[in-house]
Amino acid sequence: MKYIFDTSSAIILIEICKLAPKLLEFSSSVELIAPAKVRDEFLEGTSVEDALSFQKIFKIVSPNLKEDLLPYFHFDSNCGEFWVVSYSCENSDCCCVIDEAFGRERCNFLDLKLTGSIGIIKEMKKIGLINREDIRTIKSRIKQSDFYCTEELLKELDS
Amino acid sequence: MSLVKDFGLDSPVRKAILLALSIEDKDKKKLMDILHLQKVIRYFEYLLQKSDIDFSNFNLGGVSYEVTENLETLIECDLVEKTNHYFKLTKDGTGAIRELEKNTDMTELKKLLFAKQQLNDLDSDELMFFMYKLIPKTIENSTQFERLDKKKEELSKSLFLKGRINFETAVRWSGLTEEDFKKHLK
Repeated sequence: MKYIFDTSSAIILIEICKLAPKLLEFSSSVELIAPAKVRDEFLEGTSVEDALSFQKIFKIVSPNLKEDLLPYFHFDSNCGEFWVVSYSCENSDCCCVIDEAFGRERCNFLDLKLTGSIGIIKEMKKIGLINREDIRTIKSRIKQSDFYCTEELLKELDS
Repeated sequence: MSLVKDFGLDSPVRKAILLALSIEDKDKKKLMDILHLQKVIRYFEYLLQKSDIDFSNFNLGGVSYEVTENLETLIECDLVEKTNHYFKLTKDGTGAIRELEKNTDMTELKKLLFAKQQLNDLDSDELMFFMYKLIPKTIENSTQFERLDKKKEELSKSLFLKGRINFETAVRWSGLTEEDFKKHLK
């Protein structure tokens, strides 16, 4: 399985949930990808340690930006989601990892595979990389952060 | 007999009105009021980067007399009906759609679907704010923008949470800093 990440999802997993070591392990069984644009956005406001982790975890790609999709992104080619969606459109086996509703709406509209950072945590839990104690810590970190996440979505981590 | 030929339904404006009324929005509703119909067609033109239909900047932003006049004609032709404040296709109108769809480019149809799904479930203030901010020249003669601008934090937040604008746009439209906007979301 391949996952291509948007910036906010990488921030949530690496900076907020402190899951860089687990993601690195996860990347040995699945391919974790980030477009160059997302890498640049992530590196712009992060610590040296998280920047290094990011570069170890993700394979960086430069997708062919699909101009015919630009209208759906209000003609903003600098929008990270546009890069993620462009890549996914040409790689149908690749699942988009996007948390913001804007990108998720567009993925759904274009019939692309989609999950969010909570979905990635669930996948890591499923293969035993994350245990119940980790889940408690993750939930507490998310609640203390400025990441907008509904209680319903957080509850999904318990299942 | 061809409804399309008989009623000139292949003109850009009539085609856009009929097709917009034939599509379901996010709530699976086809009904549209005049404000939503006008804005969906304006947004559709924005997505296509075309100006086949004449729009002017009036009190409520970008609106088109061409849309209003042709809508009245379509009602007279019994292809569209108005119930309370909402418009919908009649049986004949629905019949014309099959023919119209055959002659319509799929990418255009997809953009019209997107336009309706993005706008038809927004309330009037969200809708006008979205369109004013997306196409700033439509603010020109607005009697509404000043009022809406006072609610910009709330409107940007709701448009962001509904997925109609991304984070960067929401921050910019709200007039807040990134940090303050994040707090506002909580």
